[in-house]
Amino acid sequence: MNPALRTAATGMAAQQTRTEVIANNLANVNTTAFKRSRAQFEDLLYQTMQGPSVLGGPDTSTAPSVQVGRGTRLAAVQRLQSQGPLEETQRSLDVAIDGEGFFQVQLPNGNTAYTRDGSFQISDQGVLVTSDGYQVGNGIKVPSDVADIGISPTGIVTATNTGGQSVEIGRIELARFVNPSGLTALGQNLYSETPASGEATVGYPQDDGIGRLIQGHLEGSNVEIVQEMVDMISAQRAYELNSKAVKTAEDMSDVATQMVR
Amino acid sequence: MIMRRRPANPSTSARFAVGGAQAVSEAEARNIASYNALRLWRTLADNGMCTALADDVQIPLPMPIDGLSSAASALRYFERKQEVLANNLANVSTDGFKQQRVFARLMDSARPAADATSDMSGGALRQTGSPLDVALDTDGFIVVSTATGERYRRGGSLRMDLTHRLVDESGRPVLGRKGPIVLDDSPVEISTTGEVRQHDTVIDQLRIERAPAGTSLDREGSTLFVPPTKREPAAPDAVHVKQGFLEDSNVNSTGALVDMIAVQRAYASAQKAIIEIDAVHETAATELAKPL
Repeated sequence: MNPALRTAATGMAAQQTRTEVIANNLANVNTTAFKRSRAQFEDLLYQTMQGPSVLGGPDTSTAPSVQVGRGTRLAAVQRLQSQGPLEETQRSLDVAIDGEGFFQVQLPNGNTAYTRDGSFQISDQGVLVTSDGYQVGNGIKVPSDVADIGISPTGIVTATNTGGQSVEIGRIELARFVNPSGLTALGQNLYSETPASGEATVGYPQDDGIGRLIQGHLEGSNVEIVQEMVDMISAQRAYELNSKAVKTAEDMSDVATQMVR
Repeated sequence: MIMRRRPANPSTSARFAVGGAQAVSEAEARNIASYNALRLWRTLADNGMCTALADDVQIPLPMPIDGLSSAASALRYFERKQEVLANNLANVSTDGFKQQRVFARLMDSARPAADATSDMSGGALRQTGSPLDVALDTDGFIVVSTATGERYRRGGSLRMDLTHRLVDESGRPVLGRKGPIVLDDSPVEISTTGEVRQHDTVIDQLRIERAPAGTSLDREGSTLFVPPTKREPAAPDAVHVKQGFLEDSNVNSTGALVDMIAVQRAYASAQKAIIEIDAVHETAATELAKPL
């Protein structure tokens, strides 16, 4: 069988994966603090059809070996950690991170997850939680008579009671990673630490490379629709091109079989 | 009967008469199947079935031109070319991929063989914003360590492994001047000269090497190249490392598509040539062989 058929098929599969990733990006165009991903590919092993050969006499050149590749495969789906746009919400419990860093979230199983989605709420226990109800940080207890909550750019959380008195009730710490693209996405806008991301470095906002907090704002998705559309068009064209390669390989096999009369 | 093996003028309308009954034109016999025709003639003559060959006729052995094997080589060559084009197209979105070009080389007087070279021209650089994405804006390669020795690759989407070494997508350590580069968890800066900095101190410098002009590097998959025997570090002023960028595949998809159409047509033509040569052989075998 013509190996070009299989080679082109790997190309079609790659473009399909790429389209799936693009579709997920587009589906999350309005997801708070969503980070777009892109599929990365690498070429497969090469088959050496003929080794390097010496042409003519001793003074002449050497023809390089002829190697034919056998297609492509998915190497990684990389998340791009660029800053999303900050959108004003005027809600005192909405906090966006401007710069690097992640909020730390306690999962029910005791593990720590990380998120940039700062649409917080106060639970029935009076604790600051994410919109999915996971505790933020080590637990910031909010008094029951609170009228307003202030969150400073450096993470200090102050509660103002109905009497107009302000009291500091805790401080939000952020975690930073050397390679945030290496975090594993858990869904629900949560990420978990992996060997690829490196260990979390915890610090206060605005300290040593960590971003600042902006109250009353949320970070939008960093998906750019135009970019995704362009990528989708190019994926579709590449898919078509590879299908043409399949067709050409098939037609050539057809021509070859017609030789026998 | 007068017979010349290589007439000076190809338009000579002299004809090989076999037994006075059947004939093939001189041009046909010379260009397509003279070897077979002459051999057949000798066989027939040896069996007393036709007049003997003239004394000065020599059947050239081995025959330099054999239409069938030429056409078959052409078919093989175009198949090979199609395989390479399919691989180029399959890798149209593989970062750092370099397309291959296939050339025909005359193996002997009439048979083409495939020769492939890598088109090492740079692909478009795409900004990713990821601090460990590294692309080279110039000629050259970063060096990674593999189980089978050091390998070249054009930058890539790097990361840290469990032991904090800087590795490529598949976990191969990226080599600096002092060997594998070990980082801590703080932000990494990579300068245009390849210096890897953390806390404003230089940890190491990426080893950037280049292949001497005119050398062709073997490929190993995973966008790796096998270094040549004669290696040289890239001149410091010829190194331009870009952090936060990746290099697109340099495959020219339109060109590949056009090439593919051409390959398909040429393949069909070579197949037609085989059918025609076969038809001549058939005539030689059935018509020429008729007893007088």
